[in-house]
Amino acid sequence: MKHVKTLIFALMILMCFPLGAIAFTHVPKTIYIGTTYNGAKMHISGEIGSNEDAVVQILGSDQEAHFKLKGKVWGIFWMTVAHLTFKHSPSVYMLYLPHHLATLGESQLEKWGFGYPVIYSRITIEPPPKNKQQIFEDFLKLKQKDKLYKIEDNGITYTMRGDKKVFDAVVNLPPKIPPGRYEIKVYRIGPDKHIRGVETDYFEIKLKGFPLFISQMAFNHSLLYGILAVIIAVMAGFLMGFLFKDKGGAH
Amino acid sequence: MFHMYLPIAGNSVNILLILGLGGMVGLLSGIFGVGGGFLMTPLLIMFGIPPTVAAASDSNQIVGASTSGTVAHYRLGNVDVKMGILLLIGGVIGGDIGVHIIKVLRALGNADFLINITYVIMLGFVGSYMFVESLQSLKKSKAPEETQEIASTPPKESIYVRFMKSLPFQMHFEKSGVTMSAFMPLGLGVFVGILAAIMGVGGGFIMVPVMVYLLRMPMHVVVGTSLFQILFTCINVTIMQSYSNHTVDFVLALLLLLGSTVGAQFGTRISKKLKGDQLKIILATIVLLVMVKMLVSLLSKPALMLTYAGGH
Repeated sequence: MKHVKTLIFALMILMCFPLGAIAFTHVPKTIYIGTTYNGAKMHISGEIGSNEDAVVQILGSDQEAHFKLKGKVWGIFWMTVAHLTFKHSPSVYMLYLPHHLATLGESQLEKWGFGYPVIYSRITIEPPPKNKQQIFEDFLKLKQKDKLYKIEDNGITYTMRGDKKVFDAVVNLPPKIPPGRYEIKVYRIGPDKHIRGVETDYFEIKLKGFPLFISQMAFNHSLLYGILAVIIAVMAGFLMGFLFKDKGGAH
Repeated sequence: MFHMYLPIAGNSVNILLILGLGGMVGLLSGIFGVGGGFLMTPLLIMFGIPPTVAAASDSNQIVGASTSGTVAHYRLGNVDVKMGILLLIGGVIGGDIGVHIIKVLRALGNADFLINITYVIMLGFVGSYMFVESLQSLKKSKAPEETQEIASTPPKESIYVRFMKSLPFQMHFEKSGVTMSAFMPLGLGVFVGILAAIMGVGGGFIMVPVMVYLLRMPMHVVVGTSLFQILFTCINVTIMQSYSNHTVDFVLALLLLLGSTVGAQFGTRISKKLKGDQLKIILATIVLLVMVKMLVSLLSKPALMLTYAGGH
């Protein structure tokens, strides 16, 4: 009886997404940050129905971010007037859309649960400012400058494989992307502009080699790290002094 | 190509750019005896380094550059160790007092306003005074420079000189060629330490004029002694920042100091070739330029009202 119930429950879930799974793949599964890392490329692809569209969303974990707010003091000076903390802001938000879906506008994207207004509604700012919308726009500009937030209007390409459409998104991960676990969501949009299915997977960004060693030293052995940093700097200074002395310049 | 990942800053940088930046600031450090933090930190922020990491890693690189500069100046006989140690003790006490003052100011609100205004006034006053004084001195003196500078240490018996002489614990500072109470460098060290802590900088550009005008030290000894003092201040800052805030990016500091230690050596050579007044007038110009830049940023509307927290 218990098994029958489980089976019925599983069938009900499958009925919510009637037209089969997307089964997308992403390469690579793990991105390693080594000494010469300067950003990375990731390919996300999969099959969808011939009359469907794919939307790819990449989301970083929620974080607490601290900012300074500038304002006018005494009517002439522009300087910091408040310190703000942003809560529940994803560290990364990337959205890849096919061109014709992007042209439908922000309100349609919002109905699907995509785009910056969705981020705006989940973020809380402390202390609450009077002009949250304006401050959020500046926050977006900072994130977009670091390439951590972006919406690619022409970010999905299609090729036909029999009666199936294969979508492909090339994701450029910026150098500033922090190590961690990231969520990939692929949405299948039908011709009636309804979401027919969604599939989720994850990828990881990890430090390796020298950056990993430095990071572990800095966070796990901070006092030793500080002392070593000083000793190496002093030695480098002495070394330069010694090298230049030999060339006879310092007298 | 030529990129390197900075694990604490969480960004990658062009190696050549950072080496060049280090070289340029190291050159200034070797010439004028300033740490160069007031120039380096904003430039690093401009290249995408988080403000807190930029300031802390810069302290780490200043350790290397000032070691290099101090060694070179020591060989030239330009480091007054006795004076440097007294200033350093004062600076540490002053820094501690300054940190408490800044806490009180933050609690009262509008601390940033006071910090910025102090910055602009100090830079403006120090830069203008040094510029005018050295310009007059340059015009006057066709006579020998440096020997005169040392010989003319006790000028007229002004109130200030009489005050200096009246203080207890008089001692002779051989390298600087001055005799004064130990309380003078100690007290002025405290003063600079307080200002440096409030303004969030190393204090080299305040310390140099203090040594020249209030301690009456010859300019070349000032440069060497200032570097000696900065070295110890930055050692303390680097260890404290590593331990408490985990903001020192050693990879960034290493790249910067590769450039800055070489720059500091060339700077020392240039410093040697320049006259005391010439050094003062160039430093005064840089200080005034920084003041103007700061004033412009205070008066013009920023492109974005929001900035990442931290840094100077």
